[in-house]
Amino acid sequence: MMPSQSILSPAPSGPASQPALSTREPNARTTLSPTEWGLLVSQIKAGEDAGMEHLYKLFSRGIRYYLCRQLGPQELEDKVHDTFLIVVNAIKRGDLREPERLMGFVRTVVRRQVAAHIEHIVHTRREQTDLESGVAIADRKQNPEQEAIIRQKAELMKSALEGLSKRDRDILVRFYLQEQPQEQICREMSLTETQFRLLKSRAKAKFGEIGRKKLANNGIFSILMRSHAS
Amino acid sequence: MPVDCTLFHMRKAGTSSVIDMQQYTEHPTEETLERFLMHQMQEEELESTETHILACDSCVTRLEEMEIQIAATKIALAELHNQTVAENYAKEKSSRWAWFKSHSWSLAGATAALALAVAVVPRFAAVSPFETEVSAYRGSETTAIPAGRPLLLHLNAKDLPTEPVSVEVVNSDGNQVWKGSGAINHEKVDAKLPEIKKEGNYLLRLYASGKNSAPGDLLREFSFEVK
Repeated sequence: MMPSQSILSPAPSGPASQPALSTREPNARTTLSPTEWGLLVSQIKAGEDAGMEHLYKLFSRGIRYYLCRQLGPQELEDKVHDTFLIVVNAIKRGDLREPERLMGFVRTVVRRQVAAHIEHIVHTRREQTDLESGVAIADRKQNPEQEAIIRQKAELMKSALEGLSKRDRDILVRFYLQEQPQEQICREMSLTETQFRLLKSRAKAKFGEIGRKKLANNGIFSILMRSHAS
Repeated sequence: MPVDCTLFHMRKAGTSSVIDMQQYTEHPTEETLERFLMHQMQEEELESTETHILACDSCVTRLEEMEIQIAATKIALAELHNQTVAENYAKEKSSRWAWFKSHSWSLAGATAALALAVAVVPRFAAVSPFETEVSAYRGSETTAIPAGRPLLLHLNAKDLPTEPVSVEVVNSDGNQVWKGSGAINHEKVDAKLPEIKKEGNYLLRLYASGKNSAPGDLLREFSFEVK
């Protein structure tokens, strides 16, 4: 069984009361041109440090995120390192025939790494038994800062959710809490896809609005405090 | 050579390659990323999204922010759900006793009510929930619980992250007796269970919330005995 998602990364930037899911819009496209992919692959093939460094810069965060999401934060650095070694060695051996497909190639390697790791865990669990009885459970807890951010955001959301109608809230419960697919929710609640999207975006806008209000209140409060102190 | 956000130009490759590569190079929409986080993608979409994410720092940042947002949404919804259940229960409980609060009873009325109360109260008392803390793990001490009473169990979730969970009760044969959802809050989970009539040993399992209502990882296992 794949472990469920984990939040690993460094604490996100911005306050907890930032507008909800409507995160910043990135540039329209990302990554390199085919010529650049070709250059990168040829640098790695030639064993140039610059190529290795560039490959690491390009993929390390994404690979780290992917591996952590699939396998959890245990021994993460080792797994990232192993993945890079496999990719670099494969490129050096000439296994990558189309350099512009490097992104897909890396994905295949990472997925195989995940599958191999899970297989290894299953095998170990079957073949070995701990002296102590009971199941060893990995620590899934986020760091205290993230815990605090999530807690703070959850409080903000509660006040926003309380303002929603029972039906609207029910839709969110089904989607986020019970993790029902969108199609099922639309079918069972007689909603069109547009209505469903609209409701979610309305709820998110409300979270954002309440977050902004809280921020504004905090701002006024801190100004008052400062002026009172001086 | 720029690491990120370079415009993609596929001049030398064929048209199909352009389409293939475009789906990897264009940033996924917010909806797409949400589907990715909620494990609701078909294979084709998953491939293009994952491939893109592996090489895109800005999308990883967006995902990290959305993960926090979704975790907070789940907690808020779970807490509100629990709150509603508790409020409904309290309302139901108070309405049972509302008739008992009249101030203008005659002596005869009071006597009749008293006689009625003597007959009725034990029946109501029997259905009040049995409330207890449960922290015993399998293999150690077992919590004793009375049969035939609804239960309000406060489960020890120390060192577990604040997140929604699913709760499952199985009997000694391993058959599921009850399943519900809750949330870890202040290192505890409050589980409101219906009455269990059959005496015997039971296991109560806490799972991380998984995909499509299926249980996620097993977080804790408690044992209790219904007597």
